Amino acid sequence: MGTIVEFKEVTKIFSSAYGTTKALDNVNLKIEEGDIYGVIGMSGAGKSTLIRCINLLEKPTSGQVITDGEDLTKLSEKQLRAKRKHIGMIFQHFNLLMQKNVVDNVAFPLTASGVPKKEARAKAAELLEVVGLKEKMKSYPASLSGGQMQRVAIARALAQDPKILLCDEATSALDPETTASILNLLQKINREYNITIIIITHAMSVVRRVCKHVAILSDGQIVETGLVSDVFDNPQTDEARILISKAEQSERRTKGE
Amino acid sequence: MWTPEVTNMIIQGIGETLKMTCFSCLFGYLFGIPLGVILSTTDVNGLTPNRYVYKVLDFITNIVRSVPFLILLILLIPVTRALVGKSYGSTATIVPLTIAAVPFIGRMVESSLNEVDRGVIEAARSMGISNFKIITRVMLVETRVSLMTGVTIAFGTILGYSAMAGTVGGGGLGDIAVRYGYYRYQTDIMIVTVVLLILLVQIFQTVGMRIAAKTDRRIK
Repeated sequence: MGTIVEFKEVTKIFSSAYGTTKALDNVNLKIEEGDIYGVIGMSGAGKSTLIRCINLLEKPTSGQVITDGEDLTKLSEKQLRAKRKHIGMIFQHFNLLMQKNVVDNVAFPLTASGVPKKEARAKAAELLEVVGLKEKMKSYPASLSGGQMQRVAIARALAQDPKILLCDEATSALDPETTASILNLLQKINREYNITIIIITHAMSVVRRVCKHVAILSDGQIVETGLVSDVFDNPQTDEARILISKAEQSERRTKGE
Repeated sequence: MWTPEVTNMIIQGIGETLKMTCFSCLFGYLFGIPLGVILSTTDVNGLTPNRYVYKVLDFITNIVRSVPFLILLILLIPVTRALVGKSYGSTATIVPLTIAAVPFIGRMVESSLNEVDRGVIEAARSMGISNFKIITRVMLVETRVSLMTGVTIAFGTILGYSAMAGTVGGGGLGDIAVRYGYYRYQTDIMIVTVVLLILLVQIFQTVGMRIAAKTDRRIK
């Protein structure tokens, strides 16, 4: 299995009236096909920017982003849109269409790109079965729980048969039990559909539970990468050690220990 | 004094008022929706920020909105005459009413569209959906309740403007109120027209808000 996402010297600078911020600083990264890859870092480390560079929702200031064999920074707007159809994405706040029911939310990426409504709905119904929400097809998102909304969002992200699924703090708004069930679902999707999953999170428990590899991001730089067990149990850099101890502390605190 | 003539005149007045308001609302939205969409999307936080387009449209919109309607009505007489052939009567009044309505409606559409959650737009972008479809399939659909509320507000405002046009022979209920109530001291006719105007606004407000609430899927 080959590399599916590669960052080559990616730098992203945001400039505003108040000055410039280097969100990503010369990031090099390789993610293998079929992996569940975690990117962990404190808030402000550049995680959100990093994941948005994978589907070019954020355009890098310099460097290359090679996703599924193609340098996205070289594509035209139209080619990029076609490429994005193969990269699903889910979000912390689910971002569902509140005026559409569950099945139409899942069918939306298809109907919006011209698939006939009937066909799109049939596919959506199948996907809702996969995420275990078939009985909620006609419900509206406002009546669902957070975990159910994230399941709908996952089904929606799968609608266009992606090769990659990006998870942007996808479990950060959920309670621990719901988090566990969503992570189980992601594992199942990774296994059964061979979709590469990239998770960004500030929670070590999430990475420990599902990820095979992890990258530690600190101040826009990747300070360490490797197998989860290696990196977490035997960190090589000071930044990684600080991050891991801080994350462990805050996780202990939320558990009430 | 309640001769059949007066009754007929009032019925005709209701018809003219409705005609002016409905057509101005229709034309107002025909131009107001694109204006609102462009204002919202070219905004700094919009889908395709464009400072220059935004500034120009923002400026023009503000200028038209700053001119009191009665003055606009008089200023636009040559335009109205060129388009309709005359500058008085209910058909002619549709021209200045529409021109006054477009920037007002544009602003309401803009503010409705700005309510769309940025995250939802980002999700649509991540699906590979074009900006045009994000506008038509996401923004305008997700905000339909707010847009509908806007329509009822626009309707009431335009109806009020149409009555103002009565002072310069604009036709409709306002015209009757001015001619009979003001020039001829027939207070009773004026009161009837005012009550009818209030009723019209109330009916449209109630119906509009009810439709808006009925179609909202966020509560339930």
